[in-house]
Amino acid sequence: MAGFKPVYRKELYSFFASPTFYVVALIFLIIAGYFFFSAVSYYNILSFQGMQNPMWREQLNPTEMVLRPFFMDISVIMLLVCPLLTMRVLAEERKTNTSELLFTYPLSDTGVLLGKFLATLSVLFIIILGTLPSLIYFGTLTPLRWQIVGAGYLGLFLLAAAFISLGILASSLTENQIIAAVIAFGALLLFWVIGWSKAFTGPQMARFINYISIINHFENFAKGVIDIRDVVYYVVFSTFFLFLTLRFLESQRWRG
Amino acid sequence: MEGKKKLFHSRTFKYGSNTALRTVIFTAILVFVVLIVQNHPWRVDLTESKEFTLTDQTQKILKSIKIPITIKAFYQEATRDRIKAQDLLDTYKYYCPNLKYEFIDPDRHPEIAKNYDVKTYGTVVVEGAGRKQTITLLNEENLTNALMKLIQTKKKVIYFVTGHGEASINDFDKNGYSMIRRELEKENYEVKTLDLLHTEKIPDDASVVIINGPKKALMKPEIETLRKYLDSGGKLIVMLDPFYDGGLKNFLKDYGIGIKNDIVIDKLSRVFGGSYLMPVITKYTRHKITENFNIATFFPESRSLTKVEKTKPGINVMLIALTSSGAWAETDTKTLKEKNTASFDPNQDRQGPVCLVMMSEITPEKKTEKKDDTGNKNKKEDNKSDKKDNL
Repeated sequence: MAGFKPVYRKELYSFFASPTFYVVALIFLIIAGYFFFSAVSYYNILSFQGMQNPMWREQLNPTEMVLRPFFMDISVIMLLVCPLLTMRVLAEERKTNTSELLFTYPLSDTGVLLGKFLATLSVLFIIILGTLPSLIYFGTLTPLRWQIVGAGYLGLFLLAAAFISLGILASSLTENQIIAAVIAFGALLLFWVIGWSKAFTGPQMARFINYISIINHFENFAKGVIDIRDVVYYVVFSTFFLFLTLRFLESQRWRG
Repeated sequence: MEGKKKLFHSRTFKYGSNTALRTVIFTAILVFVVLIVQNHPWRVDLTESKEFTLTDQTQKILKSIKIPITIKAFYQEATRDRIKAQDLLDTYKYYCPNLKYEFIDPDRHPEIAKNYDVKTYGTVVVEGAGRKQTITLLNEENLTNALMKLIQTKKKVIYFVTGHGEASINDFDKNGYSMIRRELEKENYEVKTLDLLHTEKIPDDASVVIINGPKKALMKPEIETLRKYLDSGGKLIVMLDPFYDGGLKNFLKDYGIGIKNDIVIDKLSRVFGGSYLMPVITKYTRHKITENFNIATFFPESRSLTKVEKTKPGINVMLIALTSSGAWAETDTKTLKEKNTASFDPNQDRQGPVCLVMMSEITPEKKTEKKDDTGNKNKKEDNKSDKKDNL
């Protein structure tokens, strides 16, 4: 897998050197912070009400009432932010005509693509980890179950991988970054909302749609359950789209 | 022809078909992996209280389910309860792949809700093997019980005693028990009649024997048969109308249940549009039988019951259902019959709350025997048909 390391390093450099990363990170963390604030405030109000009502008090559960909605909220922000990170990855190379150079170097295509993919994933995950301090602070106020926090971040990591693989495919299709972003966003949104249509399809189709839906598999992580089926879904999803990207890049050579 | 040949030998075709083939094969491999994992699920529950893990007992039952089960959950969209219900059903589905569930919003699909006789949000209907079970409070215990009842192939048998002017289970009249029979059969019970005179022993398959309002007294041998049945751990429900004790007064007394020769008058029932002779149950004691009872029940023309203080050891008597304190047990039945009036006489009548349903349990030799005793026409074991909304 020649080429993985240099491409990975080069991608990280260009991410941290570009203002896009910092703007995206800032906006991401501001929105995530707001969601976290509202989840905790709501929990706070409920705790006050719980003081008067012992029946309620038993149902108060910080993991269930703060962590779970918080992770779900982050996944929504990721949906918006991901195309902005991935749109550059391959479209820019094509625009500046460096892709030809890149793919004629004695580097394997797989190595190059994996380098780009993992670099983008690392960058996004670094942004996501920026939300950790608020959880650590919350953990000092109320006992938190850290295993569930871990499961949530694992879920976010896998979800980010899936998002990025699809985003990179979109980026390989065009040399226009805006178009790449729009395609990625549209495709991701479609995978997101497809689960809603299961109500008006037959039972077999509903099962399939339920499986395809990208966010259905995240629910379990957010509530603290790691199911091998969900992990495999994200891995297969990412692998599939990376594979398609690879085939597409390859095809550019013989299509002339 | 020449052009076609060219196309097949062109570079684009060669590479294109190669790429297409590789894509198809790779996709097939991925689908294969997914299918394997889907059929061999495995998961860890990281929550502290193992919220998303079922008890061993439930897991065992779920493993034994081989028939397809469909669960219809009637919840409003986007409520907290719905999310909780979904978590639970998801967990069940994980352990039992034969189980399918769907959510139905009763406001959006009132026709389906009506079809399943759904009256409250949060009702869950479990279907399978051509039968169904309805639960109104979804939790692991209730759902597992419902599933257990569904997969039970052996039906529980309920015997109704005949031969003393009891209301018949085949009678479609107002006083007939055909409706109760139908309800019981819907809940997967088998309902049979039992002529005590022609049987020396109560059949072994009897889950419970019911004596519903005999007009004539039971004969001695019949009572002896019942006594033997109870001694060997049988369950009996006795329902007695006022003025007819079916010759069971002493028999019941032995088990701690005292029946009085009176009729219960309740002014409260007038509020609900009933007659004075239709006492309303306002208080249920906490017991498995009265679990989740939150609706008033009416017992038209009832007699009162008392606890017999001196009983044999090992007999545990419980009051199950009581009227309000505004009711009383009228002993002057003569005036009531002739003049149709009644008034509370503190010297003779008993002031409410009056007990209408009682239960006696024999414990020493690990025997349980339950006896409900009411003077009511619509009493049923699980109290489904005689629940009335107090709107």
